[in-house]
Amino acid sequence: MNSIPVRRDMNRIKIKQTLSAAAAAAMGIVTVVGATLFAGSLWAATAAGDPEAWHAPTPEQPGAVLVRNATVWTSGPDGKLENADLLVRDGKIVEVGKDLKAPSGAVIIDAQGKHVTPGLIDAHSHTAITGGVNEGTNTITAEVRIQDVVNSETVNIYRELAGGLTAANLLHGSANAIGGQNCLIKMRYGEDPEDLKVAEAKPGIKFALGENPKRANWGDDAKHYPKSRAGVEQLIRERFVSARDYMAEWDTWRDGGSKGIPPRRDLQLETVAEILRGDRLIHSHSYRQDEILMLTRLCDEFGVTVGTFQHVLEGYKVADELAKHGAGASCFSDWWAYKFEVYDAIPYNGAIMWDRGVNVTFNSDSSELARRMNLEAAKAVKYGGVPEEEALKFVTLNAAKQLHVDDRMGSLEPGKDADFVIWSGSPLSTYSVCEQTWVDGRKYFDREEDLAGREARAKERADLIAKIKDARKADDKGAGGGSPTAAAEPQAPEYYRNDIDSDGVCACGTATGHANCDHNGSRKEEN
Amino acid sequence: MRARTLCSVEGGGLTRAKRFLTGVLFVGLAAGLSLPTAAETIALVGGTVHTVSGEVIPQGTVVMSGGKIISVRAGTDHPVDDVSVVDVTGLHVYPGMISAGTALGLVEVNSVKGTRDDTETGNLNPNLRAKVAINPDSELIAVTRANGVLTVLTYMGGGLITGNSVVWNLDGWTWEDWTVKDDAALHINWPSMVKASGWRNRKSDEEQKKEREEKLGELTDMFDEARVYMKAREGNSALHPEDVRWEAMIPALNGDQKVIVHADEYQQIESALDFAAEQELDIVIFGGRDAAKLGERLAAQRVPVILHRVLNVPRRSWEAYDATYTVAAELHEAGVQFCITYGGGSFTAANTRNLPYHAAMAAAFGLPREEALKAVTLYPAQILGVADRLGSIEEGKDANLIVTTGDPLEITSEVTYAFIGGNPVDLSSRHTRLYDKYRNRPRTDDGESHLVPAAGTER
Repeated sequence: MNSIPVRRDMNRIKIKQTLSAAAAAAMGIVTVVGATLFAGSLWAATAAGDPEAWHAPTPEQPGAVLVRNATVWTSGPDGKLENADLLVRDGKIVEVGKDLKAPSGAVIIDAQGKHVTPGLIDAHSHTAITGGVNEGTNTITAEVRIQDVVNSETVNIYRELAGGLTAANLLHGSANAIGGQNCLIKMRYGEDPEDLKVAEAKPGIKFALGENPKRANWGDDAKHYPKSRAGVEQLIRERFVSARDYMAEWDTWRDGGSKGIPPRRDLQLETVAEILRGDRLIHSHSYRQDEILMLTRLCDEFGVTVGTFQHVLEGYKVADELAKHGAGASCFSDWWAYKFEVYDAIPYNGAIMWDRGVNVTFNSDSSELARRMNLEAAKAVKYGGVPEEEALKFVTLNAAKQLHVDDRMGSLEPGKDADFVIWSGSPLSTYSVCEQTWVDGRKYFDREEDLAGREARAKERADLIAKIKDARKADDKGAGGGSPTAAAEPQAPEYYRNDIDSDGVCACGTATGHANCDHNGSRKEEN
Repeated sequence: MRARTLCSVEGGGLTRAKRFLTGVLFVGLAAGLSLPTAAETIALVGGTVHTVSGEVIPQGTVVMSGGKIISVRAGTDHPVDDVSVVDVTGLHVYPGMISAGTALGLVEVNSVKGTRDDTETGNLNPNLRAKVAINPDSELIAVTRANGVLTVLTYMGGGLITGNSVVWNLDGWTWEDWTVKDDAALHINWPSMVKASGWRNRKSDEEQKKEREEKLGELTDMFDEARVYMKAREGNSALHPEDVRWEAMIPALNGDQKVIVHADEYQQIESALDFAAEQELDIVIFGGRDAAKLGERLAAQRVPVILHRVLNVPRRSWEAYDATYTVAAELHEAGVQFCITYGGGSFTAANTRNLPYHAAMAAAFGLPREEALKAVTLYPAQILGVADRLGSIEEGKDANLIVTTGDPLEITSEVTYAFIGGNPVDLSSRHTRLYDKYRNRPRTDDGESHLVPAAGTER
C-alpha cells in the first residue's frame, strides 16, 4: 500500500518529462558537436542516465556520430582495427575505417585509448518478463507468448545496458517440454514494450529437455508426465505428429476451395506447425548428450533444423552431430554441478563446439551475468584457447546469427544497426568498464552522466519520501489521531524502511526464471 | 599467449643439471604427481615475484623447502644446493588465493540431497564442525585449485548458529592433512531485519516481525544461557554435566574464537554490531552488501568485513547500477578491514574458482588494483588469523604459491603451476579430463583442431 503514492508521483513526473522531451524536439534542438557538449547541453534537460524507466525520455538520435581513434572490434570481416573510426548516420553504421571525415553537425567522440565493440547480445534471458516465466500448469504450452508480457520498466534493462548489452532473447523457463514463444528485444530503456521488440527477428519457441520438464527437482510426490527423458521425447513427437495432421486437415480444406466447415482452429498446433514449416526456431534447453541427440534426430525425421540448443552443457560430447545438423549452441561459460545433469559440464564446452564448426554463443540466463557478457566471452579464451576476436563473437555476431538478425545486428559493418559499446579498455579485460552504450544510434547509457545524475536522483528520492510522510501525517490528522502504523514508522536511515526488492531477483542472486536454481517451483533458499 | 610457449626450459643461463631437474618436475606434473610426498626443495627461478606484502620483484627466485618458503630474493641465484629448479622466466609468482567462505567440500551436486552436508536441522548448532564432513575426493576441489584458489574457509549454513568453520588447503589425503586452522570461527546467520515483499514471500508483515523477534530471542537466550553454563562449570563442573552445545560456545564467549556473522542488510549488520558489543564478541561481518553504509562504525569498532560476492545485482531497484561493485572501494576508503570472497552457498561452491574476478570488478570500480589482489590473498589470511602462514610470499610462510601467465585477476591469465606446502599440485580435474577425452574424439569432418591443452596439465 505504501507504494501507491510513490507511483502517483512517478507518473506525474513521467508526463512532465515526456512533455519536456517533446518540447525540446519542437524547439528544434539540434545535434551539437563534441561528446562533452552533447552530454552536457542536450541531455541535462532530460534527466540523462536516470535509471527509472518511466522517467527516461528517448535519447536523441543524432544525424551522424563519429567515434574516433578507438580499437574497434568489428566482429565482422574487418576483424579488430587499431586507431579506427566508426561512422554512424541516422542510427545505422555507415563506415568503419581510418581517418573518416566527420559529416557536418556530427557528434564526435574522441575514443583514444578506448575500445569499441558491437552491442552485446544475450541469447538466453528472462530479464524483462512480467510475472512468472513458466506456464507451469501444462507440459505443452506452445500457444503462450513472451511478447505479451514484456516488462519494459524493469531496472534490469538499464543495468544490462550499463554492461554493454543491447539486445536480449527473452525466453520462457524450462518447466515444459514445449514452453512458449520467445521475444527478442533491444534494450531501448524507457520505451513501451512494443517498441522494445525486434520485429525482424525470426520467431522462436522454447523447448526443454531433461530434469526440468521431468520436474525432477520438484519434490517426490509430483504426479506428472513426463517423468523420464523418454517421456519428454514422446510428448514432443506426439505434438509434431498432431501438427503435421493439423496442417494436412487445413490443406485438404483449402484444396477443396475452402468450402464448408473449416477445421477447428488450434493455437497450440498452429504454433507447432510453424516449427514444422521452418517458420519458427526451436531454442531447446538441454544438458545431456543423449537428449541433445534425441531432439536432433527427432527433428531430422520431421525435416526440421533445431535453431539452438540452450545451455547444451554436454554439447562438447556431440559437437560433430550438432554441426552436421546445423543447430546453434548457446551455453553458460563455466557453470556446473548445480544438478546431476550438469556434473559433466566443463568450461571447455564452448571451445570444443566452436572448434568443430558449431555456431556458439555464451548466454546469461541471469540478470546478474547479463551485465558482463564480455567477461563471459573471455572465458572462451581461457578455456580452450579460442582467439580473442572469435571469443567476442560468442556474445555478438554468433548470437545475431542464432536469432537470424545478423543482417542487421551483431557486428560493426556498414548498413547494420548502430548498436555499439565504448569500453575503457579491452572488452575481455576484467578491469575494463563500459562507458557508453548506443542502440540504433541513440546513447542509452553513459557512465559519466549516470555518475553526474546520482546526487539529483538521491535528492528527488528523499523529497518524494518526505512528501509521502507529509501526506501520511495529514491523513492521520484528518482521521483524528495517528494510526498505529504511522506512529510505528521508524526514524532510522532510509534503508530501514525499504523492503527488499525481490523483483526479478532470485535468492541465488540471479534472475527469476533462472533454470539452475530450479525456482520454477522448488527452489531452495541460498546464501 | 599460452603457458607452453612462455615456459622456457632453456632460458636464463641454467646449468645442465638444473635443466634436467626442471624436466623431471615437468614430467612429474604432467603425470599427475600431486599429492604430498616427502617435500623436496624447489626453486622457482626468474619469474616476476608478486610478494603482495612487499615489493614486486621483476626477476626473482623463490625457494621452498620443508613446506615453507625459505628464500625470496631478486635475481636468478638461489642460496641452496640440491634443489629442483623450475624456470619460470616470463611467468609470474603469486601467493595462492584464499576464499574466506565457501561450501566447498560439503556439497557436490546442489540438487542432489545425498551429496549435500552444508546444512543441519535446527537453529542452534554451535557444536557442528564442518571439517569432519569435507569430502576429500570432491571433484569441486581440483577444479577450484586449478585456477589458483588454494585455501578456503568452509562453513555450514542453515539455522541461526550454524557451527564451526575450518580453514583448509585444497590438497591432502584426509581432512586432517589439510587443515590450516581448526574451528576457525563460530558462524551465525543473522535473522532478516526488514520486511520482505514480492512474489516469493507469502508471509504478512506481522508474521515476519514475530518470526524475527523469536529468532533474535533464541540467539540472545543461547548466548546468555551458555554464559551462565560457563560460569557454573567454572564454579563446580561436577555439579553441571557437560553440554556439547553450550560447551561449543565457550571459545566465542571468551573472545578466543571469532564469530562470523552472516549479514548483508544494513539493519542486520547494525543489529549484529549492537549484539556483539553487548555480548563482547569478536565479530566479523560476512556478506556485507550494505556494509559500506556503516563504514565509519565498522572502522571505529574494528570489525572486519568478508565481502561475499561482488558480482551481484543491487538488492534495491533504486540503487546505482554499480552499487555492489563499489562496496569494496568504499570499505577501503572508510578504513574498514575487509577481504573479498566467493563460493558460499551450495549453488556457488562449484564456482569458487571465479573468486579473482569478483576482486577484479571491485578494482574496475574504484578499488586500487593492489588492494584487489590483497583482498583475495593477504587480507583473508589476516581476517581469518592465518597470516602468519599464508597470504603473501615471505620467508617463513607456508609455500602456497601459484605460477601464472599474468595477473590472476584477469580471466585470460592462466595458472601453470601451483604449490601447496611446497608440493606441486595436480592441476588436472574432472574438467580437464573430460576436455582431453572429447577434444580427442575422432572428428567426422576434415577439419583440424585449434584447441590448446588445458593450462598446467600438458607441456
